[in-house]
Amino acid sequence: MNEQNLVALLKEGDQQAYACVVDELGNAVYNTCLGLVQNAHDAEDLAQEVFVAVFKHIHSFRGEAKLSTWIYRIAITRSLEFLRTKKRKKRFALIQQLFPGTERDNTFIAPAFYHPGVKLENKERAAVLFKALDQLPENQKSAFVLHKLEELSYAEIAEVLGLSISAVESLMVRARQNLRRLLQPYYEKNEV
Amino acid sequence: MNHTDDIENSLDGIRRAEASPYLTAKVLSRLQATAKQLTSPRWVYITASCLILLLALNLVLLIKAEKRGPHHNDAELMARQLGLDNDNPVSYH
Repeated sequence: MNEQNLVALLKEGDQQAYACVVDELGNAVYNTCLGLVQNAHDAEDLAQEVFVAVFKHIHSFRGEAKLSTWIYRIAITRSLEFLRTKKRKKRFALIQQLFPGTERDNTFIAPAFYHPGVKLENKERAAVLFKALDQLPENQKSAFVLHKLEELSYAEIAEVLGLSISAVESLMVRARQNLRRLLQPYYEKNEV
Repeated sequence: MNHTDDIENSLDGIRRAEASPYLTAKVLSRLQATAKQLTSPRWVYITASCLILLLALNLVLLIKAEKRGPHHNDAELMARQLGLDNDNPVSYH
């Protein structure tokens, strides 16, 4: 089935077409969300949300980009929104802890994230990288996740993020520079 | 090799994380649940139109009242025509 037919069926509310899209792109969406939010449970929930949003707003899909590009875009947007809300709650919890009598809330202390697809020998180093990745600005983080985890080309990332290819290149350069800066203390500690 | 490259290369050969095999079923049931919750857009439009109409009517009435002037409401006008207002020198006993 070509994409145009699939989109037409989605617009008609065809359940089989829905299932086909989830089967085809479910892992891609889940993997993208997981790379950004770094929590399996949240990523699973977000992946479901993304597909629900896709099917609810399929009428606004004009077919200017590929369906997968559009879905990636929704996945990125939803994941970043989720992270912003989480950060806001974390900040509020920190302020609350300043007042006496408030119990310490440890739900916001993120444990080390181990991506299930990383080779066993790289697990620890990848966890360090993911921790640093979490501190990057949103657009750099998104570009890095799409390139490294989803193996999208710069041209594809440019389409997803609505940027030019050179802008994506520069995002990746800055992401690498920032990661080096953030990982410097880790190297110094491990070299001694 | 630079240590930072070493870390960055830790993602080399990474496999895509796999979603739950029940993702499709979960998405479809979530979709049905939200479809039940949602009010039909038709009703949203009807309610919105009614509200706008009500506001417009209120606005028209307000403008009309303003044009008539602040002291000339219907009751006062009728009282004046019948000579029942306080300024009328003729008294009825």
